[in-house]
Amino acid sequence: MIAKDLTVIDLGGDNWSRLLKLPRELAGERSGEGPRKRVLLVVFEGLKVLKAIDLLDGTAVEVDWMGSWRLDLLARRTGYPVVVALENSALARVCGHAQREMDFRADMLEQWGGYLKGVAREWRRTIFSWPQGPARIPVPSHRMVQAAVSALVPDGTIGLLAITERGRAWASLVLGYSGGDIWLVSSLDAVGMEEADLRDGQLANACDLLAARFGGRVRALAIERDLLLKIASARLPAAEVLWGLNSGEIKTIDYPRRWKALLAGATLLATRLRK
Amino acid sequence: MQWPVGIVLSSGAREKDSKGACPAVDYRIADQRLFIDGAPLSFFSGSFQYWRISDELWAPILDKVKGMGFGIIETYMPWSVHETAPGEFDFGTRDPRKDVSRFLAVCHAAGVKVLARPGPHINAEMTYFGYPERIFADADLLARCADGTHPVLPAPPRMFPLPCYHHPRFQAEVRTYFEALAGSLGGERCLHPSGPVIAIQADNECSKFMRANPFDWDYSDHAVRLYRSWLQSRYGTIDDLNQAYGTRTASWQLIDPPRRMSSASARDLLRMLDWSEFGEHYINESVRSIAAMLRELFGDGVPYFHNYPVTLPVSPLDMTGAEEFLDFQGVDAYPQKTAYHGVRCGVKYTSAMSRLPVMAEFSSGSIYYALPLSLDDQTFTTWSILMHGIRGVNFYMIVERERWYGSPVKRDGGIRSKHYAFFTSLLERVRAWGLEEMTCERPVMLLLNREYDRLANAASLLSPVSLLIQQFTGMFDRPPDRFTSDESYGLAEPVASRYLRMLAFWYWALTASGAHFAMGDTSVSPETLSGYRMVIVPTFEFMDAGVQARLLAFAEAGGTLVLGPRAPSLDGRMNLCDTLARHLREPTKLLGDADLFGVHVDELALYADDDSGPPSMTYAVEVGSGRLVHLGLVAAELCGVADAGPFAPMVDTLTRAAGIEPAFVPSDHSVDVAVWSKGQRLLIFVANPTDSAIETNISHARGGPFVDLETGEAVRGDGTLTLALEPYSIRAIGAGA
Repeated sequence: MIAKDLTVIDLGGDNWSRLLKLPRELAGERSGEGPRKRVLLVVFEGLKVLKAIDLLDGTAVEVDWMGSWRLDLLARRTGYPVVVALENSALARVCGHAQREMDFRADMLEQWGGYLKGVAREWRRTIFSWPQGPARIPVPSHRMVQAAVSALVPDGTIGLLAITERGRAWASLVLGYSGGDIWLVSSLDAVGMEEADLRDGQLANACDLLAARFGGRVRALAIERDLLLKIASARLPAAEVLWGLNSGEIKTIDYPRRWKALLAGATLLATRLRK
Repeated sequence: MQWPVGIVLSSGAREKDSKGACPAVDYRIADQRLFIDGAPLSFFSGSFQYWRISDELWAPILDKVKGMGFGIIETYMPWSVHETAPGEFDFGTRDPRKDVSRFLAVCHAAGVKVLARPGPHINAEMTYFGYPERIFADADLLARCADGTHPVLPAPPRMFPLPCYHHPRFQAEVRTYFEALAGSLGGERCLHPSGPVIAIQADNECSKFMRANPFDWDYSDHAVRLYRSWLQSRYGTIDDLNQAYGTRTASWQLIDPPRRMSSASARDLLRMLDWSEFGEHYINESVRSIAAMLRELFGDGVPYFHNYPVTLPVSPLDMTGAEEFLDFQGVDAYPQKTAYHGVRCGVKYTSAMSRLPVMAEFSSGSIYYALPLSLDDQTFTTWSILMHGIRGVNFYMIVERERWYGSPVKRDGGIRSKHYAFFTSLLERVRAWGLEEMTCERPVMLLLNREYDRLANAASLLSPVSLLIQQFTGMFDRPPDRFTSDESYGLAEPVASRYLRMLAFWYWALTASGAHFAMGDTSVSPETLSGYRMVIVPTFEFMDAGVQARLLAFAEAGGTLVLGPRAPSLDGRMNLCDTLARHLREPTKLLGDADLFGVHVDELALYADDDSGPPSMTYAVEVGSGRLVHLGLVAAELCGVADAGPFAPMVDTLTRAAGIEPAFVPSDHSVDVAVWSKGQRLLIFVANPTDSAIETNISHARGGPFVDLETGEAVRGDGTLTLALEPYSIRAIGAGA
């Protein structure tokens, strides 16, 4: 899924800064939805509490410990909606599970899967929470994830995501996918178009240049930043996407049908979740 | 004057030179500066990774780097890049970008000096951090966790298991690479003056890969063997060890390291503390063995150095120990402007403890997966480290390459004009203002206690979380003991968490008071200590006898030693020791959960005065020509300068009592001032590390007239300077010629 010799080049200084800050910006658009949940973390050993802290600000909290099976009572008494209780050896045990099965040549997603499996094995043994969550944590196999990605992304794809401001590239991301691996992370800077105007056929031009530079089939999605922020905060994201496709604020080039279906599915799901 | 003036390292190179045996760098380190050929070096360097750039662009890119004012570049020389098969190497015969010898020749021709970093660990955001993949396939070469598994570093794009540096076969593999590299470079011929190399780094960021909790790793056979021999050199005989531990172990071979933190008594705790301290030995021996190999191949006639991945190298990093076999050490930092205090405290420490305090890696641009640094971040943080005492900087990366972005010089030789202009103006200003020749005035030193550091590291919750990771993620900006156990481990109180809180208390209280202070640790030499008027050290139940004696000697020689909350009654081996305690009093009253100056404190000890006055939380005892000041305060969590503001007058009283007159103290607690001087010349840095604009008054008793060095405008004020400071900004004010 992630190539061992992943090529990460020409990200463009300002470009990459903007892109990495974007998730926070998008989350900020939704911050009006309510205060962050406070989480109490309790680290214990047998019947002793070694530390209880408020995870948001790191301050110590005095707790009456009644054991990992009475976190509901602890939550009620302390007023924390979420309580996580970790036996002091929990992280070491999770690491142990992952390390025991780790292959340093394996795909990184598979390697992370090892840690997730470790958490699943320690779930309700040394890791507890309130609300309790599922009885067991399902961990999809790496093969299943890989198959899903391969089904979604045509082999030999160079994907271009361009976020524009009045048609000009504000931030961009180029991903190369081949042989089941993401092998390239780059940006429009790779073809000298870091802040280029992508109107009037220039998006298609950028695709041609990327194809010439990296090979493969370039599939592009360009979206106005304002619209993206609107989608992030809208009650009806699907409507905003539809509007964008019709108004030209969202442009696509050689966009596979399965991606269109995925986009429609995702926005409809988001619309449902927002309601 | 606080610098350890007069510490001079001769390379011995000149002796060799005089015999004509081999070329070598004519160097010495004195007054925290590196002198090459008798002249002080302007230690500003930038990272340039030759194998990632087309060889045709090496020379034009070097010209761009020189254009900013840099005279030095730094480069790794990665093992995995040059090794094509076990024992086979490509140094340019197949791939011209790997022709490191020609790269050095190009640097030499361009008049650019080089800091060489051959690894074996290099990171450089490379897959497997520069180790050849085949090393990990040999399970025998790998370190082991307490549960027998191989510790893994979760770094993209592939996690990998960590090698044991003490395995003889691993060392032999490294030696094979170094021999090939040295052969390619012509050994000592690459050294200045016949070549461009002026210093060599032994390994990189050796810190157990930040998985530095003592109970995480390394429990491999070779590590355990090293542990046993370390214990043997420490205790001498097995009987002495048994006596110290209260055990009945028959032989050294039967000793196993502890695998979890557990202690019911002070004597039990000794075993844990020893294992924690062994981590320092483990790391230093790793670096020492790498440095020894390099010395054999490149000779002794060049400075060898090392770098740490954090600005505050707490246990298991041991800067003092490492300077026994290295010429100097640096720290690394990639901070955003909001991390001001995290960087400041580390720089305060490094600049007081290192022979030549440099930032071996300081951000210029960003790692592809890290939060981006803006030019504002770059500007503010760069001046921050210079303001607090860093004497040299290697900007990593000054030349962009794959898996990196935002450097002033791009891969194709183009420039990012704003960044390029920043570095050009930075170096111009540093040199025009004469900063490199000046010294920072800091009459107070806050000492970290290495024994409590070790305890705090062992008491870190949720292994593999370590003190180092806690520090890395902002030890001084958030409650410092948040991942430290509140267990007492057989002591009278939870020393680990209380120590971290006391350290943070002093840091913030000193900052709020506007006192000019350095930071160090209890391994500091008496010579360095003697450069300070007042030393502050948190003390609890136990404290190494040698450290107690050294601190008492400092006070007896005329210094003021501020200690507390406890008078140590045991030494580091948990035997009775009253070196300091015999001068101190027992409290007459202990108040738990008290309020002091309107701030909650965990405990307050009160001491009756000699003349039967009201009990006080502090008292002073004259010793020799100096004094001990005992403060019976156990602080609660202080997380910032605002929390500590009410304690500022108390610190002010203490410093005045130590004969230190306040100088250049800002009226706003948030504002930070550092004063540099040379003769009558003053350079005053005033920083606003907040996100709000501040107007502050800064009282002063000397100097003037004052000039804003950026604008050249006069700064008015009679006895008080009034300055307006933009958010996250630093102003430089000059006085005297």
